[in-house]
Amino acid sequence: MSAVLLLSLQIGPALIGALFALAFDAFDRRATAVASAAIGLLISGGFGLWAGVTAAGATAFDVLRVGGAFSTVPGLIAILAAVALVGGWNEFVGRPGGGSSAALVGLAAVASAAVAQSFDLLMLIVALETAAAAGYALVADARTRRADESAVKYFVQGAIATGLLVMGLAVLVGGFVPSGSYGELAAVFEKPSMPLAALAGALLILAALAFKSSLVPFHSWAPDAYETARPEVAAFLAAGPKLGAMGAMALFMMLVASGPLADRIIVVMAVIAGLSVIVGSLGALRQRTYTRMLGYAGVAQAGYALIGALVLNPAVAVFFAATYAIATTGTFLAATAFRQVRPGWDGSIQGLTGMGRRHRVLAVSVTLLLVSLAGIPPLLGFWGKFQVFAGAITLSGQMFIVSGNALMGWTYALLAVAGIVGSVVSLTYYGSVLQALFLEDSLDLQKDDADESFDVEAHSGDSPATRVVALTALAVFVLGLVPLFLGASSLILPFTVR
Amino acid sequence: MLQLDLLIAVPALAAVACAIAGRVLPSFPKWIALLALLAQAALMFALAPVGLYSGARIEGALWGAFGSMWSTSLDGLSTPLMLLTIFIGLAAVIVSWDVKDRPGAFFALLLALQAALTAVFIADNLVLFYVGWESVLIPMYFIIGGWGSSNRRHAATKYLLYSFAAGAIMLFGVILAIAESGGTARISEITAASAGMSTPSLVFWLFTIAFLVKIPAVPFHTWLPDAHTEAPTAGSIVLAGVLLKMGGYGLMRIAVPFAPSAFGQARIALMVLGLVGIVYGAAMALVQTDLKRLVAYSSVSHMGFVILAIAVATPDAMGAALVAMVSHGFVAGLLFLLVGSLYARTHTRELSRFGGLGRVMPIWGVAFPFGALASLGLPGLSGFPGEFATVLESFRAFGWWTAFGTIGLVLAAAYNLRAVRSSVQGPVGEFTSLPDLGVRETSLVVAFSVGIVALGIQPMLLLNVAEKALLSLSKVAGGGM
Repeated sequence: MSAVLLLSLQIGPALIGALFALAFDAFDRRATAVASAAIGLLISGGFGLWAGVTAAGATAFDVLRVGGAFSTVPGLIAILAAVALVGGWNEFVGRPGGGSSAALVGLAAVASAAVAQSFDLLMLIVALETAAAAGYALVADARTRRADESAVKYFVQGAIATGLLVMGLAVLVGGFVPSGSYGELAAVFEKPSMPLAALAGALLILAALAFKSSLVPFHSWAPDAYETARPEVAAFLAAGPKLGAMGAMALFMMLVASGPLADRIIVVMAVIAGLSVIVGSLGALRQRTYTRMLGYAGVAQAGYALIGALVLNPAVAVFFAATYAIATTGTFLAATAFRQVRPGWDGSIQGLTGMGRRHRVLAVSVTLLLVSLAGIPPLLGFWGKFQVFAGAITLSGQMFIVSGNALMGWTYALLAVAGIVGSVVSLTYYGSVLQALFLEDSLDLQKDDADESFDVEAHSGDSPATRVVALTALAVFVLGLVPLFLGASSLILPFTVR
Repeated sequence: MLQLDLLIAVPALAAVACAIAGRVLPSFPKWIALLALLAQAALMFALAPVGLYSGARIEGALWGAFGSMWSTSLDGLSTPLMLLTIFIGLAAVIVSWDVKDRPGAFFALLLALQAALTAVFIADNLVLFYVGWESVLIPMYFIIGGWGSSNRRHAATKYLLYSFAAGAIMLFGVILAIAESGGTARISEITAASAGMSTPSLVFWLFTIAFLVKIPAVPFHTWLPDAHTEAPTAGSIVLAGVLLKMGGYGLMRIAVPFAPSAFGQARIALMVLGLVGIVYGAAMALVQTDLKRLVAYSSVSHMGFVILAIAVATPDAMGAALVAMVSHGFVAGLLFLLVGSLYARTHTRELSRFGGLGRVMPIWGVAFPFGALASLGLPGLSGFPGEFATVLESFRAFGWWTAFGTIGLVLAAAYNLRAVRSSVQGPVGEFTSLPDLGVRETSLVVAFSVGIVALGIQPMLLLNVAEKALLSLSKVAGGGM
């Protein structure tokens, strides 16, 4: 199959679905609008996953790659966007303009996918900015004062990131790679003598990508945006665009960290990765709000993904980011489901007390998702972390023993230590949710009975949000068993760069 | 042998069945759990004709090839612990027969725990071992947190964080060991290639710290008294009966064979940790006012003997460690069963409130002193051969340092007899009439007692099975200095 046809199949249905959604929304046929966006995304996603496993790598229009990771990641992004739409069905359909929000989600998914597929600097910028614009609008779409504020914060910081990106582009395209193509970029960086300007250009672009993946010190917009956006929208924003940006980052890292400047780039990015794990973990520990905690946890998780990228095996980084994205979509949708079954919920972790007893399917599903995010086997998240840490530790040993490069040896060793300490800490903040869900004290139970808001709780079994959360939890559980039987590489295979 | 793979699969699938069946009919799950464990037992006995019980090493049939993580094996070292796991699992199910609170979830968690423990003991792949090891955490966390007593939230969280931190350190070791041995994750292959490791000390301690937390050795033990005390009876029985053995098994199966040279350097440190555990655990048990906490601290002391025996590393000492582990599984299981049944009747564990229970509950009043005697190491009961042989072998290897260990033996007599005196004997306390042990509890007590007497009189029953494995282990470890 030609690359152009494959690309059209991957992007076309989602775009058409989004356009239909806009049109239907104009006539206030919201259910039809959301459905067409979701169906378009599902078809696109299906093609993407299929091509990810079967298709050989190819470049379409000289700027976008398809096949392997370049199809799997877009496919997964589209599927997760569809999952967010279906899970938030009642919410999207239930309010004016919901159809256009769904269209925005579809557009953001296509743009995020294109970020991961970009094989050209200019294409990367166009895709990143399209995804970002959709992201600002989606955050502001919650139409609360706080959401407006965090959308503006997101936008202002995003504008700075765009500035960095354009400057980096100017340096690289103006000075080294007139065509902007990644293929030539790699050749430039492999030359034995590289001026420092190229290093600066690469770091500027990496900084912009770090902003998109909410890495420290470019992270502060993320907890605000995810907390104030509608949870079903955040379910996509925290997963899809991040997965796309991490994919681009892992690929870019592999291209630029190959020549004489490799060590310097890696050390700088290693500091960013370590800081992200530390700052994200400490930030998440202090949070009392469920979605805000998830936002900070996402910063730490982006740090792990960056460690994967620093191992210079993009498949590992992208596979980890994918495990994160799947579970994260579920955990944010769970916030939607919590709100449905407990309308008086104030968004706090403490406010989830007693859910385990009253809404068992939902609570058990959230437990599986959070435990997977913490990286406890045999769930999917463990295999992601296992690959990342295995990469870092093995590379550290190689640097010490084979290359005799103590600086890089220690860099990778410390990254692995930071990652492992971070995952232990993560169990504390993810665990605080489990505690609230299941481990209520008798005191809490008395409070329950006294609390009138509990009497109006709806039954959770019939809401689409609960069902979709359960479905993601099932995916995390079943996919986690696959490597046990088919080997550690089985799940990574579709994420290889072909 | 496909039976090995089924050993893990049966409880795992039954756990799912329990969770579903619990929603249909609350009395289903306990029967599913019982059947699953009986099936596990049957699978184990079906392995007798292929020579499992005369020292053969048997490998699982499934998925051995194409890079799969799923490879299993049973040998003389894992067989006794596997049998113990099944026995304790059965006891845990039977003792929980009356659980009314969310029975589907409870038995599902118990079975998930069983599957994970089985994976730990029969894994021949380091990653599968690690997956089993960590999969124990979440079910036990919810068993303690969901069905425990008053301070369960604190205890469950402490248990989870301690264990996960230790597990994370071990993950480092797992990755390093695999990388050091050229990418293979088979435990038997890594063992064979152990001489080529470039950082044996690092590998050894990364694993050993995790195992010492689980056993637990003294500076890392603080999760244990809380978890054991707050857990429901079934949870305590499995915790003390099987979970602690994961640590001892890990040392013997992984830490020592992977890095024998590092083990050689670490033996003195392990000896000290063992002796400190023996004395500290016993001393703490002596001053407890909570009967369940007393039993919990006695576990620290008994497992100290296991660490000491492994540090000696002669074939006899390794055998003593194995016997002591199985014995402690029986004895601690029995004691937690009895304390749990007492708590169910009185809703207190305060020693000072009991007294004269020998007259109030005659069967309990016989069973508890029996368990206490087994715990203090009375000759003829299972506590004796393991710990006595440990002291003997340790004296040969380490000389008079071992004398500290005998302090532990004296203290064991003191705290056990104190527990008996203030509960069974003396004037009748505030509980003047309590229902005695029922048929189910009594038959469990009998089953435990049979195990304790059999192992006490004839420890060779177990050692014959393990002999070959122990000999080769101690040869690798360079036992006896």
